[in-house]
Amino acid sequence: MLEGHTGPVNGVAFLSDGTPVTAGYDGTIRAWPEGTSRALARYAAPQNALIATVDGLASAGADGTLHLLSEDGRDRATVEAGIGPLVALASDGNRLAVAALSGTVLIIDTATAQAITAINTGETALWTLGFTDDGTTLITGGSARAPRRWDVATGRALGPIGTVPAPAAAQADRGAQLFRACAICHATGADSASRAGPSLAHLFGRAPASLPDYPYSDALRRLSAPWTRDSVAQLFEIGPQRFAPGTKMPEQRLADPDDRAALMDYLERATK
Amino acid sequence: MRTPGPAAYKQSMRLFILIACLLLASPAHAQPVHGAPIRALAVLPDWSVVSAGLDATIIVHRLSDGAATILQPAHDGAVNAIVALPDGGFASAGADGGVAIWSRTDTLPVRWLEGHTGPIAALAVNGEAIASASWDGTAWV
Ligand code: HEC
Repeated sequence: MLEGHTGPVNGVAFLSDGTPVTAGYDGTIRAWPEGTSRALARYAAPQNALIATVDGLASAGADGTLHLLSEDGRDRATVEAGIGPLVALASDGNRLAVAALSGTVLIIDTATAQAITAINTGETALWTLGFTDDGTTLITGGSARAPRRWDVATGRALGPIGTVPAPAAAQADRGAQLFRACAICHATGADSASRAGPSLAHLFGRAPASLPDYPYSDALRRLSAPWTRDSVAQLFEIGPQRFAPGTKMPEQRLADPDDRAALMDYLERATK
Repeated sequence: MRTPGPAAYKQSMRLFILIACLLLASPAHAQPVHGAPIRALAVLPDWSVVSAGLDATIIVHRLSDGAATILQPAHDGAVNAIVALPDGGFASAGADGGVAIWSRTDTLPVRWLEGHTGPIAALAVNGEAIASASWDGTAWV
């Protein structure tokens, strides 16, 4: 275990000799040779991400500054990205991709510290990115909920990998929008097969754990009262793990009573 | 002749559900999207992309045709980091402070590592070593 940062550790990478290095909310970059600790660099702002490059390290700051440093901590270059707080980094060797929460990505030549391409992903919150192995394509992920592809050389959109339901329809129906989080695991149609979770067809009035061909957990089998609007709403008010301790359904909650009502309205319609 | 016991039945049901998931995820159907923003992704050497959302779901997307596989729920809470591993698999970590190790073929983790008392924000890999950085102020290797 490596202790030394005062506050959260946000980034970790390895130097070429295998020494771990970390970047912290406290603004420091620390190297950890043989369990000891040494500050490589100290910056004014929290550091959100750290990555190893061919010529050292790159650290992304919450103040929008990208620091390129050598393995011994010397500052090689400082890039004022000018795109707001930086949240993620990816490297394909000679180039670095730096993502700002605001949705912009800069592709930077690590040797010259110059930006080569700017990509405006249009995400309202951009969180993560990665290069394909051949370095031609960048994949980004954020509020659009499906990964998207970009041409590294031109910054052109190559389109999502999965399709995203039209946002217009979603706004019109809050319940349907909320159910998308459930649809990953649950179908609703009358004769639809179970996914990772059981089909919710005819849910209200149905006894818990009553689909003959779904391998329910014992936790769910122990419940007896048939599902109602109230009990399903309660399931997501207090969370599945409190409602049925040991259930296989992952923990998720809906704090807002209006959201719960909207989801129950949707379920009533969709599972009839 | 042996009749299949309950365990074998369960096993075959699992397989059935897995196949159903794969069918649902086939390109002819709408691709699954995360129920919440994507927080982490990694590109694997076999040209697939593993993405994970604030909704704890992990989805493997094949870049060639978009076919997607939803993995079994493993994390309790948001997944903040995914890294590709040298053997073709990957590791995921997040709010629950645990690290799940996945092979490229199983839809359940092959290993689970614990140690942090706070959420994990980032992962890095160097050969056999995986390092995790946590909001509990520590890093583990
Ligand atoms: C990551 C997968 C996953 C997501 C997302 C998910 N569920 Fe589930 N759900 C499950 C699993 C697995 C079970 C079976 C639990 C058990 O057997 O312990 C289940 C069970 C249920 C049941 C009980 C069904 C029965 O037959 O008794 C209801 C109701 C339900 N889920 C509703 C929802 C709703 C509503 C949402 C969205 C807010 C949701 N689930 C999101 C996986 C999921």
